[in-house]
Amino acid sequence: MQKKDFGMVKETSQPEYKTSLVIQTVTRMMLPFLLMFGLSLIVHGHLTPGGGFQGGVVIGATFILLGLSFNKEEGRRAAPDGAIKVLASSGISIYIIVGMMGMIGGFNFLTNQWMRFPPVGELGELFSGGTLFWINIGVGLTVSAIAIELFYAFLEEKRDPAYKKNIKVLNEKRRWSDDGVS
Amino acid sequence: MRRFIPVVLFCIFGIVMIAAVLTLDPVGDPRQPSYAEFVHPDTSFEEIVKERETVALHYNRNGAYDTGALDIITSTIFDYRGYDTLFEATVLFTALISVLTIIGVTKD
Amino acid sequence: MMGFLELLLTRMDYIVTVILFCIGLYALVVKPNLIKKMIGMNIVETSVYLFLIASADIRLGTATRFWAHPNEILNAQEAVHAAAGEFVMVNPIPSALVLTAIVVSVSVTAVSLSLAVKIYENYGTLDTRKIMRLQG
Repeated sequence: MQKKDFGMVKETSQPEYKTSLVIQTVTRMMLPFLLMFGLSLIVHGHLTPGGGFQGGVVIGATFILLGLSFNKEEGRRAAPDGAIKVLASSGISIYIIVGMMGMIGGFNFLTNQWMRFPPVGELGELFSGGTLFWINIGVGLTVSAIAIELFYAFLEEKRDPAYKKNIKVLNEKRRWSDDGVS
Repeated sequence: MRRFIPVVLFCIFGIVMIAAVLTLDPVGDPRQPSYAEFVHPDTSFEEIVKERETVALHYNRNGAYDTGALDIITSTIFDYRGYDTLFEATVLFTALISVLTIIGVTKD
Repeated sequence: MMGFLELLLTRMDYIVTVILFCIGLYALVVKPNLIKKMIGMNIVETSVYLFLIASADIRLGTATRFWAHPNEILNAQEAVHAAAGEFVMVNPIPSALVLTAIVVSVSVTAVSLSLAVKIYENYGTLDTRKIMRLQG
């Protein structure tokens, strides 16, 4: 049987698993629109319903879709391991640093007064919320990185190599009672 | 016959909880305690909306001026209650670390 | 009789909350499979979100700064409000509580799924009746 090579999916560690051509083509066409939708939800967090959490989940689901419709290797190349962990930590760091900037002028932690009074920007513009704009971006980065990392953690776990050798010894050593009471 | 004992017990539990829920105010009534915190039975819709000063009404009226955001929910969770949201993001981060520790992801 | 029916109809959201809670609690307690217990816990948490959001609603209230549609006005008092251009907004605080509760639910589900994976590797089964018979 001939194997047609369309040039999209390379032969990797899971050679039997290939989704159909329709799924791959539609995913490649829809990816930029999904990412722009998620980014629009995050950035317009103070103008329309949405915000950091909702947009972060949409961006995380986009990368999970990429990993599901192609191989795991292709998905891991789009979201490398070290970069995702750095993004997850930097989102929370942005939140704390923005909160600490007000303490330089003598205000409280997490105050909006150093950017809001005097009011910067009119009501309804993009840069009008004060610290809300930067906090939304930070939370969006954290939530999307956590969604991607949780998906790939379950796929990449390695079983203990001594498990198969020890399982017979372990099963003989365990004592099971006959009734349901331990 | 032994399989139906939990079903009967949960039905009794459900009926008792429905009888407890029916003592609350109707859905959407502005006299409920989460919107207008303590209400004399003779006050009207107008007086509650115009003249009370509870937490929810304060956030509704002054949210746009204090924070500069058009969306009241964003101004609530990131400006008025920003401390809670910070620790909620920390809880999410802690769940990620615990899953990676239990599963045991290695570098190779 | 009609009074009781009206009592039920105005609090329909809370009654659906109780029904979902009982269904989820049944799945959490009775079923012996670990994955089915986790699904039951998710259903219980979903019923609590419904209760919190239903308690935040105000009749003819909006989430933004505009008045309701003219078809929803019931009596002359509210028509006066609509003509004057005033608006009533819903309560924003339970929405903040629900956002935190959703994040907590996701965290608990993720950690319990990873524990279930480790239990299956170690014991070979996901049935709690079989795992409970282990001694020592």
